Formats: sequence, C-alpha cells, structure tokens
Amino acid sequence: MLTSPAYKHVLYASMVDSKVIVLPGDAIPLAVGNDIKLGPGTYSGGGREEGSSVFVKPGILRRKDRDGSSSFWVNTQHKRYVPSEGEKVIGVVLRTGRVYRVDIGASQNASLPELAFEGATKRNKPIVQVGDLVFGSLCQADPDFEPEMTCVDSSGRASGMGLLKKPGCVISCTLSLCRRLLSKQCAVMEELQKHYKFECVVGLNGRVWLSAPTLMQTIIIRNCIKSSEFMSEDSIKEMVRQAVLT
Amino acid sequence: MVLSQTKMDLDFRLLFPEEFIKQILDEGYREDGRSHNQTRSTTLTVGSFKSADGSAVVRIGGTCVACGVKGELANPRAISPKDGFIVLNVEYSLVTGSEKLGAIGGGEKFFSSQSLTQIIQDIIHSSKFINLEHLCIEEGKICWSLNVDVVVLSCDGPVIDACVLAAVSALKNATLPSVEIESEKPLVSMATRNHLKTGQYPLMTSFAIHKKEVSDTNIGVLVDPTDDEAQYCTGIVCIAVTNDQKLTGLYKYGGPAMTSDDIQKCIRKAKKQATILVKLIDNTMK
Amino acid sequence: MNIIRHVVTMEVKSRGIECELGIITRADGSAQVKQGNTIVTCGVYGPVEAKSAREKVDKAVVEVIVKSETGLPGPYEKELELLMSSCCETMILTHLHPHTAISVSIQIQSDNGSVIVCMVHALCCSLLDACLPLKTTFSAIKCAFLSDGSMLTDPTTQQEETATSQLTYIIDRKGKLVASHATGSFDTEEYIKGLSVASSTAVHRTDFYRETISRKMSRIKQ
Repeated sequence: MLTSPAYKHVLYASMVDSKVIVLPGDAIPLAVGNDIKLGPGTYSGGGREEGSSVFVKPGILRRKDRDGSSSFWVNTQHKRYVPSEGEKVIGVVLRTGRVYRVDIGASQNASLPELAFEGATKRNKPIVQVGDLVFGSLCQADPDFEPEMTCVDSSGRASGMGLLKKPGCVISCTLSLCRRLLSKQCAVMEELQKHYKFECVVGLNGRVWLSAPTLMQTIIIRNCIKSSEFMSEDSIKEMVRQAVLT
Repeated sequence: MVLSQTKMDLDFRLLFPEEFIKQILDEGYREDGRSHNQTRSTTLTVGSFKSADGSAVVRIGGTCVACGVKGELANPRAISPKDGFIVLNVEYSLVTGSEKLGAIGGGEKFFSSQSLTQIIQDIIHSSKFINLEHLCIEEGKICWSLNVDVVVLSCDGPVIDACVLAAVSALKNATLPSVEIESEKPLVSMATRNHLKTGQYPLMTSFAIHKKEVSDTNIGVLVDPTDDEAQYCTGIVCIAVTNDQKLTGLYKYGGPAMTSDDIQKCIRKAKKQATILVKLIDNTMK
Repeated sequence: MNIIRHVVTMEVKSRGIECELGIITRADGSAQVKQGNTIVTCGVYGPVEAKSAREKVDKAVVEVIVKSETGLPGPYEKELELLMSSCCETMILTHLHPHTAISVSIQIQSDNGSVIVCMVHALCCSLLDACLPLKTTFSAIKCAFLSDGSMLTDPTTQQEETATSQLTYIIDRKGKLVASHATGSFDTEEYIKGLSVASSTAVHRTDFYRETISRKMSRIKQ
C-alpha cells in the first residue's frame, strides 16, 4: 500500500522535459505556514491535513511562488469547453429574439441579451440573424445557471467584441492550442504575421476565426494553425516557409 | 427502539432527506429503529400459485417478490444434448414505478431488471443448485425447460436478496410430472410428480455502505437497507453464500473504497444471515 | 505513434497493457486498450447537455453503454453497464458539473478473457483523456482459482472455462476495493488473497497511467 512519502517520490519521479506530470488523486504538497492558492485542476475538501487537497485532472503541474504564497494549477489538454467567467468565446447564434441563444460549445447554450452590444438601444438594435458568429465575453458562468454572454465591457465599449460579419472561416481546435495562440510568444502566429496580413479572433472555447484577403491565404493560415499543435518551434518555421512557397 | 417522530422531524425529513438520514446514521440509529447490523423480518410462503409447478412469495420488510416456476418440454441444444434449460426472467411490476425515471411512488431502481436477471442466473448457475443434466429426459431428444418468472411487486430495500430467495424457494418447491418415452413420443403422467434434484443453494445478503466522516477510512455498513438508506449510501455490496457456507458471488457497486477488513466483516455477517435464511427455508418446506 | 506499451515489471503475472489515447477523434476523450487479445475501445462525451427528464440539480448524470462484439445488447451487457456506471459515479466528481450529462460508450472489440479488466482500464484512460475531474485513478485485476486451489491472474477465455471461480476486483490507487464482480464457488480466504494481490498491482497501474499522460502531454513541443 502507498504511504505518503513514497507517494511524493512518485509524484516528482515522472517528469517530461523537467515538467511534473500529475494524475487525479495526487496530493498537493501543502507546506505548513505557506499561503496556498489552488487553481484549475485541483480540488479541496477543506482543511489543511494531508490528502484533503488533491489534483483532480491529469496534466502538467504548474506552480508559482510569490511573496510566501504558492499557487498550484494543472495544464490540461481539454477538448470540451466548460464555461468560466470572464473568458472570451466565439459563438453561433441559434435563435433570435429579446435574448439570443448562442452555441458556445459548452453543455448549455449561452444567452446574449440584444442590448448587450455597443450603442444598442431599444430603437437601435443590432441586426443579428440565425447562424451569425458572435465574439463576446462570459459575464455569468456558474455551473448552476445558464451561461450569459455580453459584447460590451464594463464601460459599455465593444473593445473588439461583437458580431463577426466579415467573410472568414472558423476552425475548431483543442482548448490548449487556443490558449497558446493568445500567448505573446506563439511561434505559429509570429511566423504567419511575417508573411501575411490577416485578422484572427481566438475564442477560449476552442474556436478560432480567420479572415485573410484571399481564399488561398485563409486556407494556408488555417492549415498552419491546425497542424502547429504538436510541432516544435523550428518545424513550425519550416512549415510556414514551405507553405508560403506554394 | 423506535424513534418517536414529531411534526418537526417529519418536516425536516421531507425537506432534507439526505441530511436527515445522515444524522440518524451518525448517531448510530436507523430510521425504523434497527441497529446497523440488524435485518428486517423475512417471511416466505411457498406453493401459493396453483397453476405453477412451483412458487414462492417473499417479503423482506416492505419489499415483496413473487416467483413462479413452470416446466415445459423442449428439445435440447445440439451443443449440449445432455442438458435442460433454466430460463430466468426478472421483472418489475408496474406498481413499483418506472424503472428508469423517478416516478411517483417509486424511485430510480439501482438494479435494472436485466442486470438482476443476469446476476441471479450467474449465482444459481455457479452455486450448482440445479444440475442441468437432471433436467434431461432423453439425451439429444427431449428435456425440461424451466421458466422461472420473478416479479417484484413492491420495492423497499434489497430487491436482489428477495429475488434470490424467491427463485431458490420456488425451484425447491417445484414438482414436475414424470415423463416416459414410448415409441419416440413423450408420455406425461400427471399423477406422479417428483421434486427436482437440487444441490447447494445460494442466499443473498445486501449491504449499503457509506462514508462516515470526512476521512476515507471510516466506513459505515448497513445490513438490509431500505430504499431511502440505499439512496443516501450510494454504495451496495451483495454477497451470495450457499447453505454450506461457501461464497458463490460477491458484487460491489460503487460507494466508498473498502479494505479487506471491511469486506471480511460483511462476509461474516452474510454467512450468519445465510444460516438464518436456511432455517427459514427448511421450516417452510417441511 | 502515441501507443503506450506497459512493460510488465510486477511479480503478479499479467499480460502487458497497450493503450492508445484519442482514437475516436470526435469524442471528448477516448482510448483503446489491448491486453493480449482482449481489445476494448471507450469513448467519453461530456459534460454535455442532459435530457430534461434525466437532469439532476446537484450532479452530472452518467450514462454508460456497453456493446459486445456481436449480437444485440442483453442482460450481460446491462450488468456490465451497471458495474461500469457505478465506477464512474464514485470516481468522477459529478457535483462539479451539475445539470449536465456525461455519456460513456464502451465497445468490446474482442474478448479473450478478463474483459472487465480491460474495460476498466479503457474507461479510466478515456476519462483521463477527457480531463474530467476524478477522485483518483482506478484499475482492475482478475483472479481465477482452479479446482486444485491454484490461482491464475489475468486469465484468458480458455483458462476461465476451467476455473471454479472468477474474481474481478476494481481498486483505487491505494489498493482499496471500489467495485467487485465475483462469481463461481470460493471461500473467504481465496477472496481476500485475490484482493491482496490486486492491491499490490495498484502502484504499477498508477505508473502506467502517469506514463500514458506524460506521453500525451509530451506531444506539445513548445
């Protein structure tokens, strides 16, 4: 039977490129006197004794120590989107009316009030049809309620959100790829930007919207993004170089 | 002792059924006044259905199960020409409520009728209760096919225990007319009826298990749980013991994880309960 | 390319496990597990929208469908579904996703003994692949006792036919019993012996899952 010291040994023994892999049921190393913050992929039953706080999702352990407090979370590879408040997502309008119903790829459709657009009033409503793409942020994502979207920020500005009316295409990819596309040093985005001018909107629900001047370019960008997920930085550079030549 | 219930208790139970049961169990009691390893009274009646070759009605607390056995002449399978058949079928009566949905008057059933059928068939088969070869009349030509129909009339607790007891008692109670083969044709003489040749028979005892405290180690075990208790407990252990105290089936479905000590405690209790049920069957069959 | 072969390092004799994640592209999590000639594929979808009749306000509903290699589903498949869904319900932290449904499909592709063991491993791998919140990982082992009292672990169909009892244990990573499916004729000592053997394999299985996940995560090169 597994005792806790051996257990921790196992926890740190298995590493990929110096990354610690955690499994559901691994205990979170709670140091006494330390402030602990638990992020995604962890679960706490309350209390500070050994084993009351555990990881519940498999993935790479991430840890940040700052001013005597440590934060733990797990980097996972999801496919299914679970709404979380404040995240920006791309949805498809399924039904219009006072409140639009929007498919965001989660277990429930989100609701989007028709007045939650920049400058929208009762007289001046946005023109939205079924099938339109909309980019907005989630202002309500409690698991007990229906998720709610909005296309304005707290000051009533669109700040990039709204309907995606331009001709373009949506690609679906894993949630971790979406997060990576948004990071500042994303190799595939950097490389593509060098060669093309295009618009790109990334929703954290696994949807990426693209619009390039020509169809050919759109297809090339789409293929590059989709196949970049499991590539190293060098091979991404090579892939983009090859793609531009064709 | 039976807990006296005031109006406030009943209201609390209606609003927070789980919390109500949890608090009672934590105090070491049960709602109907039993201790944690006390079973409810079991009654058994045999031979009450005249049209069947053998029958039994079992009541365990509020659970009621009826079982009838009817023999039919059939042709044996080519693959096993020496064996007869036992065709078991378990069904929930409509009175017990819908099997899948939490309809009024009956909650969601833990065991579907099909899984009950499979488990009971496995147990009867593996306990070697009835040797299928004894059901053969003439090898490769004719044999008995015993239809064992189990109907659950009312559910309040371990349906599977009652089903096993009913099926076993009905089969022990069953008599079949003697059959002679004359010029390739079976001749059934209804006047002489014989009991089936039976071996060791299985008896089932169910336990509901629940976590007692926050820590993983404390496991509470309830013998013969009622429906409400089973709903709260989430985990079920079913142990089948033959009348000669051998195990013949051990099923655990979910609930908190158990150590071998916990399991051994359950096995000991199941064996004790089996001896009580053996006495019950013996007294009824006299 | 993404196949994990588990090297048999434990003293308990068992066929090696081979696992491939993400074999069903449209599922949220999927795995194919091979143990000898027993092959099981499992797909997990969820959390998805629950049908209003099945929806529960405090937790996710778990629906399990088991399909055998041939024929229509019968009592045998229903019993396996019961066993698998009881594992899912205890292992998945269903209260984190209320009002939703998690649907699991398990397809037995070929059965050459210890099929429940293979199903449990496929189930656990695909739940891990889907990143659903789990209490712990879990695994299974099957023991068969022969008429002379000797014990076989991970028996094939041929060995199962000669056995007097077949005991399948589903255990969590600490080696405690989560679910059990035991048939045949056996006594308490045999059952407990099997359980202690099963408990001793739990650590190895956890290593196997960790290897599987680290292989999955190592595909990200950036």
